[in-house]
Amino acid sequence: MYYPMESRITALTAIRRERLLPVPGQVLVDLGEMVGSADVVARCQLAGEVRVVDVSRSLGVPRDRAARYIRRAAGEGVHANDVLAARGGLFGRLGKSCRSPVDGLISEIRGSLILIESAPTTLELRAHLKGQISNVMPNRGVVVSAVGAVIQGFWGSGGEAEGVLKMLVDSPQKSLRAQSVDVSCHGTVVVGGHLLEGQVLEQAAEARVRGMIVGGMNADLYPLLKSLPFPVLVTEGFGAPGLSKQVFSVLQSNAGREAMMSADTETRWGAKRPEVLIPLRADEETPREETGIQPLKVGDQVRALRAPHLGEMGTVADLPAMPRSVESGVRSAVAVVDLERGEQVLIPLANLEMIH
Amino acid sequence: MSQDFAPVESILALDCGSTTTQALLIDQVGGEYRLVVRTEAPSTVEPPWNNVAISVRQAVTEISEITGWPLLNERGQIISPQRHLGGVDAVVVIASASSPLRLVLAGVMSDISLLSARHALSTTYAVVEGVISLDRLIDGARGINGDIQGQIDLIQQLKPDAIVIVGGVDGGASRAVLQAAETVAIASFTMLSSERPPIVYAGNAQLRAQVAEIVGPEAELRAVDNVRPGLHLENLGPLQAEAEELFRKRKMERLPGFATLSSWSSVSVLPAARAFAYSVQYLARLDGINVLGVDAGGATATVAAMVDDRLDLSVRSDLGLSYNAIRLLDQVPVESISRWLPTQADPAQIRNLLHNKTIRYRTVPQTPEELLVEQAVTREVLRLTLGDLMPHWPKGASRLYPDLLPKFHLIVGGGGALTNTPNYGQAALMLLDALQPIGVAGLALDKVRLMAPLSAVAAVNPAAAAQLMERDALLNLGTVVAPIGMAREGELALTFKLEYEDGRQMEVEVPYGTLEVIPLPAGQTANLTLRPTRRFDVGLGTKGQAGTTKVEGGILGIIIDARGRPLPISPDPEEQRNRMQRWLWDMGS
Repeated sequence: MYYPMESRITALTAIRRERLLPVPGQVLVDLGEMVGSADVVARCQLAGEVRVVDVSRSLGVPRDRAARYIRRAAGEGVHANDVLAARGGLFGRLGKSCRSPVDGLISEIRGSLILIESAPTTLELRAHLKGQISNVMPNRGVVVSAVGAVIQGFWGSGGEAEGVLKMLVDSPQKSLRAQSVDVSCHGTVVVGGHLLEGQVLEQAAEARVRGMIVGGMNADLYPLLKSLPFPVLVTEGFGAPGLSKQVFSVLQSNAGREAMMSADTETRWGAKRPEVLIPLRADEETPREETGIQPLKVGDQVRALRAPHLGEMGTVADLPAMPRSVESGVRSAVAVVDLERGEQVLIPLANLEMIH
Repeated sequence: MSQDFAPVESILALDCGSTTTQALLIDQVGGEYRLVVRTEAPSTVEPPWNNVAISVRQAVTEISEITGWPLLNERGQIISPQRHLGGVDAVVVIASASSPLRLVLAGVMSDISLLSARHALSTTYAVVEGVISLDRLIDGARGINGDIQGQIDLIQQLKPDAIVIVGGVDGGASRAVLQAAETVAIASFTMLSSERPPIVYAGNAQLRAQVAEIVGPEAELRAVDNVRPGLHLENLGPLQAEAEELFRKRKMERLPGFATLSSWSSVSVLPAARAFAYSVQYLARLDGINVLGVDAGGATATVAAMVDDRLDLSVRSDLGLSYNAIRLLDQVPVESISRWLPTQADPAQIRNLLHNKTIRYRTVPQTPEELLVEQAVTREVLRLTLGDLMPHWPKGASRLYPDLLPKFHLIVGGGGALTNTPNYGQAALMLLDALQPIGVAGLALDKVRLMAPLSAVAAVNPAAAAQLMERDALLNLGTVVAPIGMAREGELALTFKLEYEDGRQMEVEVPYGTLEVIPLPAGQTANLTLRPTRRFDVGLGTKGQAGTTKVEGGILGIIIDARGRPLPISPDPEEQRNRMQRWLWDMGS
């Protein structure tokens, strides 16, 4: 029995997503309340940053003599640019002085070091899914439930975004072109087959897109993503030739609808999958419940995770009992897979993920 | 034998790796301890499973299905001790599935105390993510020197599992060490009490009380002996022990499902790298030889070496063939990988593959091209891990040349990339390219991943461990002869004469730049006479000196690696690709 990795690509299903505060705070919605994706559902205060002012270094005096120049005391509030310590002259006007870099409170003075805690900031947690509050965890967060399409991606970065889906290609294998990204993309989540050029990202930033979904991406573009103002989500893999048919079909059929992207990915401890959620009306079709971990069996829909079939979808036709050699010569437990394009191939079980 | 204790005969050894979990059933067969059956399952330490015991039960259940011998009861617990209807006498567990300790190092001089600290920390599952020093920065970690706010920000951003402060020889410098302690104390003070990492102090012993005063009672301070008590004196043991203890308590024992495995285990659960090192030590002491063990694992690369009865260990938790695949490119350019490929490869494709492997870490290479890229990555991972140990070996009886590997009599390779290769010639070539052994050495593979578990088995039944090590653990590839020296391509490097047990003889001239493989089946020995030319040393310490030795056969036989040491890499990429192709052909791939 083999339990493969799983990915969800489904046009309609029940969705439940936890939204949790990083530290205890206040939940602002009630059980059963309907929320929009941008609605704030909970709020908390995040402690301010601690800034350190090194008086000895700023005034150019030995550490053991710095204390005599310090003009403020622990527990006092300060504003940015207030004089904290000065040497030679009234409050530093004629000599050297060091000033507070932030508004805040002096939390401690340790020798020549002044520790200033900046004012706390408020974090507002949005629903990030249009739906109904199905559970409230007091002080911690909520569960939002909805019905809609779900696409779990391969990798992504850049956090969360919401926007109207806009297809920039008419075929899953077509790459995103810079000239396709124009002012009409403003505020949308754009979709393309694959991403090969950094120019597309520059154009998308200029057009102020909210997010980008592609089947494959050239890993050379990876460093550019860090500075982007929007998230990018890759559905099939780096170097994949395009979107899979299923992903393309779900996205295309929902073009013009609002989509929620969560792009951040963690591969190991605390694993986090990137995903696209598209809330739909519940009466369109009876939704299927999301299912638990399943062993791989004949008839399951699968996606190949490596060359030569990277990103291709198919159906398991057979699960041979004994390991077999594949093209590389590696001997491995395999599945016989009927690919969507009609060919029957052997793929190592380790290179398959189940799709449902 | 005392009647109070039942003898331990059947043993279940469990090996919980980051990508694969294996179960090994060991029992007496015909009066000897043998490996009866080995099964494996994909590890379930991460979501959606979050419990390493699930994959262990899957692997154990498969043993029962194969043997018909029940090992788990109806509640999913191991039946132990063995009864008439099932179970085993003892269970032993080794683990490498947990995340490594993430550390920040704070100290004074990067080439003195901080370097010693890194040596000490390299023996356990730890990654130095950040360095705070007074002088230049250390490669491979984010570092800050000078700016106190930047140093505090670094610690706050990294949120390390522990902070290690070093610096100053005993009775020596104090100001800079206390300044480092001050910075660490402030950074610790600014963190939530639940997130405050323990602070390990391994610097100038005379400053312990002052450091404790600076750090204050809010943070957990653990003081150990100075890692660099003198300018030319290292004392790695105490910091090594402290780091290993921290790893056990804060990582290994917090592995989801660990409590179940620990309750089954007859002895303490061993970290796999340490267990691997103990087995290397055992093999070396058994025959009084130098042994090098390398393991290219999914999340960690390990090199353990016994040279002149001294054990050294290097564990690189930032280098591996799965989760860490992409991190290799933080340390080497992509050209360092492509130089080991026989065909031209687009650097973008190599990067794509490494990114994909990092995310879908269990996948195996299906095309020959991707197999060769993974093998190239393996060479670099092993080369870098070995590089950490190179400065440790003193010049002496076994270290004939300061820039080359010491003389090893046996080299053992482990880890999926080496043992699951479709062709043993490829495995041998990876070892030769990455390690560049010198002189005459046996080559073997830890084919069934038995080396590390046997250390744990030895704790419950030393005889069983010894018998298994001799019979089942190693797959003998053969013997390599690697002359040291350089010459023009095609110039004669050495002549060798091989005398088989049946009296047959063979004499061959080996030109420089070539690899020759001469069959000598496993279980057979032969007398090998080596006559190097005046430019080459065959491991006897003198160029041109001839010698005769008895060699053992193996699956490949005898490999004469006359490519030179250090192994020359052509600056012309096309020429290097041609060489790689030739070397692969020479090794039967």
